[in-house]
Amino acid sequence: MGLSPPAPLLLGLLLLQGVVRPLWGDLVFIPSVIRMSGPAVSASLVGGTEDVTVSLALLQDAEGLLPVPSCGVLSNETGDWSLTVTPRVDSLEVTVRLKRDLQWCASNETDSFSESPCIVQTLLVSASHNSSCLAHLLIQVEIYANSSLAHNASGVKSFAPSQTEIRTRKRMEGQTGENVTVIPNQVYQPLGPCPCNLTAGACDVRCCCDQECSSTLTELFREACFTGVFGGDVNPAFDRLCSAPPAPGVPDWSPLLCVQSPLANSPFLGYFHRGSASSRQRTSVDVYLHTDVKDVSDFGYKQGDPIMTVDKAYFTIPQVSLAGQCLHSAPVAFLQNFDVRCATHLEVYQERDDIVNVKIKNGAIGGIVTPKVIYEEATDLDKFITSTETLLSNGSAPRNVNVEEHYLFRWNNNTITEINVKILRAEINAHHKGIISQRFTVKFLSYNSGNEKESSGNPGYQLSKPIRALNTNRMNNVTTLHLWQSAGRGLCTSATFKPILFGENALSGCLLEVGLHENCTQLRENAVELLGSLIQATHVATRGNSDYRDLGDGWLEIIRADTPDTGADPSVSSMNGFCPDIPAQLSIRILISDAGAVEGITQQEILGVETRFSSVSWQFQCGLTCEEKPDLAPLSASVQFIKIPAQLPRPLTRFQINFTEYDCNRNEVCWPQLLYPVTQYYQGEPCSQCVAKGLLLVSFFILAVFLSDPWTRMCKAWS
Amino acid sequence: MALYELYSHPAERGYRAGLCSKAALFLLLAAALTYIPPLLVAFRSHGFWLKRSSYEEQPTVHFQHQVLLVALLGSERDGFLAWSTFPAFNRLQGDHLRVPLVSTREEDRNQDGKMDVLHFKLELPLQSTEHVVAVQLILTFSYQLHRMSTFVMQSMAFLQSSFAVPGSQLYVNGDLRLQQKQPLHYGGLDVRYNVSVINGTSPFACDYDLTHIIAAYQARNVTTILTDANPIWLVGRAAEAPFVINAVIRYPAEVISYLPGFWEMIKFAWIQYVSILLIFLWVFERIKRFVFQNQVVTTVPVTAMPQGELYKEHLS
Repeated sequence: MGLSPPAPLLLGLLLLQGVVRPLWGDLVFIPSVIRMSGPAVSASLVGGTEDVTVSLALLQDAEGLLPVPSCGVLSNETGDWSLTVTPRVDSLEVTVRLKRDLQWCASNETDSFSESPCIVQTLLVSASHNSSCLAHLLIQVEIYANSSLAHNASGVKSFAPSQTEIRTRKRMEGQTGENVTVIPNQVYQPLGPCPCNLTAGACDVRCCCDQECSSTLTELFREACFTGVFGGDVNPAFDRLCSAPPAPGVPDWSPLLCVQSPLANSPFLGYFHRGSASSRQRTSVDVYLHTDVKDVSDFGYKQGDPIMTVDKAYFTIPQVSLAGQCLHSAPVAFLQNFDVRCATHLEVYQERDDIVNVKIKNGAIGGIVTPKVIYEEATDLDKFITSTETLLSNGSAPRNVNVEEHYLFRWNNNTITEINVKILRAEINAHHKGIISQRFTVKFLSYNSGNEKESSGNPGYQLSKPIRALNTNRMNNVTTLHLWQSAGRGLCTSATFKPILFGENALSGCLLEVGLHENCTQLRENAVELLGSLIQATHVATRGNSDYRDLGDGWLEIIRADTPDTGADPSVSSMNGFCPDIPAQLSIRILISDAGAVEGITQQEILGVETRFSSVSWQFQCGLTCEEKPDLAPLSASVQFIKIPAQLPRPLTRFQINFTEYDCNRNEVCWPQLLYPVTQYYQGEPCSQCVAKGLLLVSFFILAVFLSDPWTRMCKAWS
Repeated sequence: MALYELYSHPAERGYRAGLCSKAALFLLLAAALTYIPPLLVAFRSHGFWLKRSSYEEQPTVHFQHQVLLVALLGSERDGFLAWSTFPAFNRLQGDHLRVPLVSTREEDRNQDGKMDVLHFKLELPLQSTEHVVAVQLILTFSYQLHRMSTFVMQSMAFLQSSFAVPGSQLYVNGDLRLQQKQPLHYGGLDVRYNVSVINGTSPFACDYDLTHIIAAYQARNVTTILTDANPIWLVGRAAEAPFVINAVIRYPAEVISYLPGFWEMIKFAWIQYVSILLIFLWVFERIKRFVFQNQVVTTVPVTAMPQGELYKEHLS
């Protein structure tokens, strides 16, 4: 869609008119030719503007030739265009605006990213006085549905969001574990190969390196591409380069002092890299109580973007913020999981809008995803509602409260494909009083991942991820080792399990109720059973991603030292209220070590797991008289992670321990720091500067020595 | 008439020997023993290199007019009121948003161009049934140091106070003190921490979680804290009266530690080195004189002569 050959000539003529005419006070449009790619353009009409009528006409573009402008072709039919004339001092401002919404362009096409222009028209604005033609303004309209100018609402202004986009995509890929890509440091690698690509997902006009521009689109502005680094020439031949052609104005001797360097070692590397984020200084008092919701979801979500509903509002789920308070209208960020618990008084409990009616933008233009909701009824109300007052009347109407809401988002690239919501409801009395504890979880899963168990690292374990374990004898779903999480009084019967997390030493316990006449054998069996319930697994995974189905894939058997003997010992157990050798303490020791690094990140693996019971003697604690009230026997379990160096260090000799002359960590005046300012220990200045200053100092000394007495005497002696 | 020695001058005497003679070797050894041991003595007796130094400066502090307030209400269930100067934060609060009246005044008492004290007053309107029992307040400041390195950061003062009895007013009078975990540089521009304390543009709840804000802030190596061990709760609020936070925050002069520059270290090392070197020079001068006068090493003594005669002798 270039201008046809006569057009440049015509444009030139018009331009010439525009430049020359104001000299003798005629009426003229400035500028006289406009190429329009947005929804509105404006120009000024200067000269004698009294009694001038301005009219707009749509030119029929016959055979790609522009007709010579004349007032004869004026027609009143302006179609989609509106013309407004605003008087200014000594001039008129003429604004031509498209009446239709540009959204029409997008919705008109079946595929939303059309490559041919949405509107191609030629407009002629004429200024006439008493039906005599005085000035013309020619407007060439080419508006694209996916032109970046059309999406002026997108608000993408910061530098190169396409890079962020790349990063997000890479991160997404990294999460699925398919294709891990290292993003190079922008200071050393020209990661932004196309700095003029400012709008994500759309073609930027005049940016010829923009991958989003198709060839036909690029053809339009091929002759007006941005040049230089901004235009995508990120490794230009720089000054003083020997291979570069001599620039005009350089001195004759410049070939003698030129630089031999590969182009990759360009001074433009990191040209657009901003080292640290620095916010603007704000000194004025800005208090806004309302803020506009920014919607950038039309080009797909990036990690951390808020999820939007169709009504241009945030999709909200209660979340904990401030000092532990729950905020009910907190937006949800894309690819950010959370699991929060909120405690609310039933009196102030507010029913949330029904999730079924919410329509959420899926990230593609016009795409909507509706959550699929499954309701379940909570069985045990006491777990969720703590009543402070007893119910007075049962007659009033019941109401439903949501006690747990689990949101599962499926994502694909930067869109949301599916939302599954599981809501646990409880039916309570309308006048029920008390504190309701609610739980809200949000989880983002890849669209193609099943509900397999989450791995604890890839390949090594990550800190604070559960240990993977497996029971080969019983094919039940034992997947980790546990510790107790005691609740209430701390009795073993009420204690729940908590997984053992990699790298975190832990200690917990619970209390076992024992009567005065308790059989010691029974007590031992109870204790062993309770402690054994923590370590039901037989094997532990070496790595964080060992396969549960393949025992050969790095599974270690748990070493069980001292399996306790629960057999009766009649000679001792005959004594009431005293039992020796109760296996009351379980210690789990896990040996870990560094097993190399993947992409610079140290991977840790488990080398062995040992469980050991230690026994204590239990005695019934009596006061003055022994009552028939059960006593408490404490059981405890502990986990200890022991890091083993890959290579055992040699033990230090006594000489090495005492000799600290060269060990600057143990000796303030160690010899390596003798010339402290020129060593690496000195951090106050860059090393190069220190060396330079040091050399300067040395040169002063040498000069002093040369000029000093013994040297001059020696010179004399020689001569 | 008794005669007094009114003036004296030493007569110079030369000792001649070959450049590869014992005498030359002795001189070289003496020179080495004169100049190197003072360095070792000065270094090994600690404190030779000035590794850290400090200076005093009153910082240029400005209140940035960013406030984040959370007030916990006593009687009402789940009650809290929140407000901040960040619109995204306020949008999250829903019913709990309450806009206070904030008046601030910074004062330069000694007319030196640097602010010395901030008077901050916040009046939170309350209904007659509401009672404030705890307050969390974040104020942000722009903090600048200029004398050595130009250090610019955005810092905060965090105030948390609670009382068992509902209060009518909270009075705080404290200093905004600098806390350094590492020394500053002796020169240059340092804008590492010129980033906002609170991400006020984020719409997400977790960015306004006080634990997150504090965690990110404490990860900095240079921070400011509000030191007031005992904020005063005043009780006895009238039914419709607002809850008032009255804060007087002073910006005191700080002693700032920094890493000295190269020349500063060399200067202090030189002072120590030369003072020890003088002793060694005197001692070895005596030793050398003794050795040459008594011909411990073989040399040809000559009396020092004017230059012309030296040449003549050489030519002959």
